[in-house]
Amino acid sequence: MDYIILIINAMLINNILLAQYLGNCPFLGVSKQMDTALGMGGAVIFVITLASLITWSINQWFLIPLKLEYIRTLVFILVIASLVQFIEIFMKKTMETLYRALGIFLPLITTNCAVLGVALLCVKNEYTFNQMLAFSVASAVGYSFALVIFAGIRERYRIAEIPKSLQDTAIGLITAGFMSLAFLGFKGMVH
Amino acid sequence: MKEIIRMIVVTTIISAFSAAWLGALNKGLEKRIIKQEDIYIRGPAIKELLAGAPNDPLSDRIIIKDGEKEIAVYPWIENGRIKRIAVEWAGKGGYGGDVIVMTAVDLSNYKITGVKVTQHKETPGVGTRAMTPSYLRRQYKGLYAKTKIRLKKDGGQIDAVSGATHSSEAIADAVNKATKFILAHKDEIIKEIKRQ
Amino acid sequence: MGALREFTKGFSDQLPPFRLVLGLCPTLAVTTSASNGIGMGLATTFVLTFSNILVSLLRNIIPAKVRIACYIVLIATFVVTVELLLKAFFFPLYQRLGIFVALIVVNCIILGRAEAFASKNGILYSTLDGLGIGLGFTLSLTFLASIRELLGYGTIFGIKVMGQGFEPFRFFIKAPGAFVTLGILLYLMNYFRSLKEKGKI
Repeated sequence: MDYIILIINAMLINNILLAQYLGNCPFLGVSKQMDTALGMGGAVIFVITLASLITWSINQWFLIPLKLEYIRTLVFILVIASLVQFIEIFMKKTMETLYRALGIFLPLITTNCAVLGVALLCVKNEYTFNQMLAFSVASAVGYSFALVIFAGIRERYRIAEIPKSLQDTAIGLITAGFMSLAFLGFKGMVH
Repeated sequence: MKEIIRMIVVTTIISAFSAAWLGALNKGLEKRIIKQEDIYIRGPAIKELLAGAPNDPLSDRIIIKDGEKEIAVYPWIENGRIKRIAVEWAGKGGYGGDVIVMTAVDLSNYKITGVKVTQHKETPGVGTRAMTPSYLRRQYKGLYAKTKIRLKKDGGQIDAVSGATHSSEAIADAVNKATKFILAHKDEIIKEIKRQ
Repeated sequence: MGALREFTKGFSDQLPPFRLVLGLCPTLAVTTSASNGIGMGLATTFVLTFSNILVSLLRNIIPAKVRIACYIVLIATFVVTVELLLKAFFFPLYQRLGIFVALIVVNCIILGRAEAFASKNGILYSTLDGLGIGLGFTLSLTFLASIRELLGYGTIFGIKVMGQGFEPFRFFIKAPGAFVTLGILLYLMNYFRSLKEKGKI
């Protein structure tokens, strides 16, 4: 039962993008079309889950016992950067079709604060292994969910007449604001 | 080949310098950081539980080893005698995780003089109702450190706050562990404080 | 470009996050009070400036193939440095900024400047670039934060400014408010810029 609350919390109530402000840069850049949003979303779910898994383990079995918590940030970002490199090489060699769909998003994901952010949150909230897994997957799915909805809305903007000063980022931000407001409604779900 | 060697050497040297610099900085700032954590995280709780102490419990704190862990004990010293001590401990079973509680015990009669929650992830408005000063004072003040504290529903002395059972349990757990520690190490604690 | 220009561009045509649309996450997250805005901005400036200096210093030594990895190590080193310094000297600020201090390391501004500028320019210019863009960012953060704090709490830097009858709009402190305020500000900036270009101002 607690896991369900954890998952709903991570996916909707405290959506990492709309409530915790993580992963905004690619959000506003990549989400202009549905298919790019879906691609980014898929890549994000994959990377965040793997990244959280590895960084959590390193933190648990290496950093804490050796009292090296203070260089956590450095270790985590290096792990993420290397992980993304490996994933890219691995995907290119073995999963060609998947690589063609998601591959271009991978380098972007390294600097996506959502990846490092979720990894750090798992540590900050002192999750157990299972909680970390549930939290990471749920957060990533929530992010992709928001991304896809956003892209759907923005595709409509192409046919709408928007003043030049509002175009692209400005209207994107305001839209995100209203989406965030909508997601705030989820707060009532868990008492 | 030469290229690869160069890549590895440069990256390794940069990483080595980085590690050395950060290690040195951390070592240099360590004491100060612990002091800051004391002031901002534990400070308010200590000020409240040991209010009226003529000494500064934060700077007079001592460290006692409990197995692998290092536990900080904050003393109230008056006229050369140790009146009370406060110890922080994490209680398990909270709704959102561990609840960290500061417990103060009077060393003349080994009674609990105060309990305060310093860190928690409980639900605001729900679990936090088990942390109000008046509730904690009513429930915990005056209990003997020797008694194992339990919720009334488990045959104990603590009225759990309805809807905040987990939080109440975690707090009781934390207080139990703190008192257990104090009683187990009381001679060592007194000796160490007198030494300072 | 002259040295002065390198410094001031961070306040005009390369002003983050409005002109140089990067570093949005901390901008939205941290600007709930003006003092948080300044604190975050200065911390970022510290990291940006020093990482620019070091990238520029080592630009001829770092082999091209591993440059991103090396930049990340350098940037992360300064981020951890700033984390430790904040914990030691500005603990309350560190508590309020939370994970966003650590997230400076993925602030695209810093890696962006390292790659686009510091790796190709001398130390003096790189320093000025870092300082200018960092301080420009600080200005933006503080400005946005002041607006949000003013409308959301009725204070600026903790000082009550609005009168008695003012009912604070908590909306601006929460997530939706952050997005909408930044969006509107961006819109206004674009609008005035277009007016200027057309010669109407």
